[in-house]
Amino acid sequence: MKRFVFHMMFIVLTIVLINFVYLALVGGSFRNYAGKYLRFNRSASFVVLGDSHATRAWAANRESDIYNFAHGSDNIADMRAKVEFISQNKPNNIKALILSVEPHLISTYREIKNNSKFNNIVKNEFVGLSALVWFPLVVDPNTELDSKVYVHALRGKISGHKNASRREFATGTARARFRDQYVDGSASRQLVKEYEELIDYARKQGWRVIALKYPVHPYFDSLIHARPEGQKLSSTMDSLILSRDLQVVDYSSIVNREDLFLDQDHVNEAGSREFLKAVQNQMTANE
Amino acid sequence: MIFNSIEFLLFFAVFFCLYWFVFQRNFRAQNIFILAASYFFYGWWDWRFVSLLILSTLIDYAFGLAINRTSKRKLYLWLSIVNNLTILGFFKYYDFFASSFQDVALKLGFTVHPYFLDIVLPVGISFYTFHGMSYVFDIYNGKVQPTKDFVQYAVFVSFFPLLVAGPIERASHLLPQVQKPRQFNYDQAMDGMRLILWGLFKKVVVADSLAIVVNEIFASPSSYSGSTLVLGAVCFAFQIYGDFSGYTDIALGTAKLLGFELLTNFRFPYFSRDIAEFWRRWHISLSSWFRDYVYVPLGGSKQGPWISIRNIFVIFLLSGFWHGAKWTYLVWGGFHALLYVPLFLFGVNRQHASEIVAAERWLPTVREMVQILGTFVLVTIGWVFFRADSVTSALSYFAHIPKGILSIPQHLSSLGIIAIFLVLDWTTRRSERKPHPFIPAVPYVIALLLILLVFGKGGSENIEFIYFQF
Repeated sequence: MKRFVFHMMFIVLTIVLINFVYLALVGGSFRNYAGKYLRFNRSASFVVLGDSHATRAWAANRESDIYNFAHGSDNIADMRAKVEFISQNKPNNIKALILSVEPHLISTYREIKNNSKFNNIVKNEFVGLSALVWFPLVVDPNTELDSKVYVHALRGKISGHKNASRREFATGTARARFRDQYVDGSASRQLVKEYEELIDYARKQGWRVIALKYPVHPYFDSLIHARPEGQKLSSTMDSLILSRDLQVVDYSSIVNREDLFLDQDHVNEAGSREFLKAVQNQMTANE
Repeated sequence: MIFNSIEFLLFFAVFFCLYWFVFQRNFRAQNIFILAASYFFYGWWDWRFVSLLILSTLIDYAFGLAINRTSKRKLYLWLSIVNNLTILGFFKYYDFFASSFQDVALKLGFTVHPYFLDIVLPVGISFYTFHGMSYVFDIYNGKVQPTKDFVQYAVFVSFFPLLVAGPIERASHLLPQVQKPRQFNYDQAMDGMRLILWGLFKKVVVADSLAIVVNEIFASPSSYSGSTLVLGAVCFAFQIYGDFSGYTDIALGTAKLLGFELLTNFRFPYFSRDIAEFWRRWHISLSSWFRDYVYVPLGGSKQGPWISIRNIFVIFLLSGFWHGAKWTYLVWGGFHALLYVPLFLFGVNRQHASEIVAAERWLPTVREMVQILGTFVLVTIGWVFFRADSVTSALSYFAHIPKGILSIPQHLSSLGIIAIFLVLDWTTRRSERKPHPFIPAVPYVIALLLILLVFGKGGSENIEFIYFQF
């Protein structure tokens, strides 16, 4: 029995060691997601919520007063979970929530695009966020996907493609992305209702709601404005904004150089800096 | 509580420690502990059915003693059989017979409204009732002596590694192990670890990945090309094999960690060269149960060809019906009987009764490959009936196959999983109770653990083992 116990301990230790190698190399999307909760800055005055557009646009932000809580494919249900988390953690001096009001957020395609798997783990009292952050190999359910992404990126690095894990801009891809996001221009009633409730909830906490439209590639922006599906969904979002009396700051077309985009609707690091400059200018002008 | 869940991992870790470090000093206490844990394990699904399990155990225990002590042996044997079949029939088959009766009456112009139970089938009922019956049969035939110790008998029936999906044990094999103290053995325990992890690999990496493809294709066969339908059937063949043999491996491995050896249930069935060999390698504990307790008492193959053919059909149809109250299972059983009978009539049903194919070689010969492929095609045709919701759906599945049979199928990547599985299965084909013995135990365990941790977590949902429903 001693030999068996010794070997079992050896196996467990080896797995823990490999876990840390995995942590250093791959990290993982769940880990990043959980990390946003763990790193939440209680003294921040502004909290950013949204999906990958917000995540990328605020990526270059170094102001500790603004906390970027947005993550990858967050939808309205995910934002609500985060708002409740903020509320439960009694932040010291939150002044405003910065929400994204891009039309695709209320598109029917978003009904099935949510992070329920992430949130199940985040809310799981048995797993705990720290376990997720330190032992992703054991706890994280997304290891298969993350490993594939890592291997793909590694292959890209070896072959000299810097952004092998991400598609670069192409008009065909942009059109396909537009079709995916805007479908037939219908809005999801459920998502519209959830978004209205989210805004009301934030206001009940005494927080101001700032609504932003994030920069998208000029070609993609033209699709939204020119195509009937884009116009229809934009008009539903406009009605929602009007019904909740939101002041919208529209940055969708402020970044107009192609080299500042990773793809059709996400800015790169330089694009993020450009966006932050625009935000700063706007704030100075308001003052 | 299913084997590939965190709950089971925690349950077993605690059980293992208490079993070896606390209860080993007292053998009877250890058996009581196994029994209590087995009832806890079973009750995790539904506590109400634990009483059914206890009742069934008590009755067979009493009949076992009665058969041995009185002159009315046959009467008690029949009472026990009737009792087991009544429990099984009531929970598993009543609604099927009631609805079939209703259909027949409707066709004859009558409208009847039989009472439907509409209840959940108790998990593992087909397995533990068969345990009970094998016990009384063996006592009746003088193969085993009944135990006076109720706990020992109850452990034989309810031992948690095999309680819900087998293998279907025999009293002559398992009961003596319950009746003597177990000693921890390092090699046995490491073989157990190998089996558990290899079984988990088959279940969560192979079967669960293929299940997604299979469910999609079988849900709407008319939306797919013929080539995709063929792929769907092949995927199901490997899904059910990975699922069920994976479960069995975990059961065998778990038992080994506790010092028990369970019966072998699978011996690489997809490397069979004909249907007869397939049935000596697939769900062995069930087919041998029907052979010993139905086929042989009916006269086996010793009373002329017609009686033998009748007996073959009886056991195959019963085997199909054992899986559930659906016509598809009966057709599946009948289909296999039709495939088996010609081999029997030409006297070639035992020509591959000994070793696995290419036991002393790396690869099979071309002739063997053709035989293996032919057998696999036939078995896969049978699986379509097994998997389909109804016989009509199965026939419609086949009817759609010619359309677009030459097109490139969807879900082609699933063939990659099947290929990896086949290669791994082939390399361990001489050793079903100790997978890949040429790799030392510790590195093997670490490698499989890593594969499972990276590829086997598969999100938050655990897919249940297929054979739990039987």
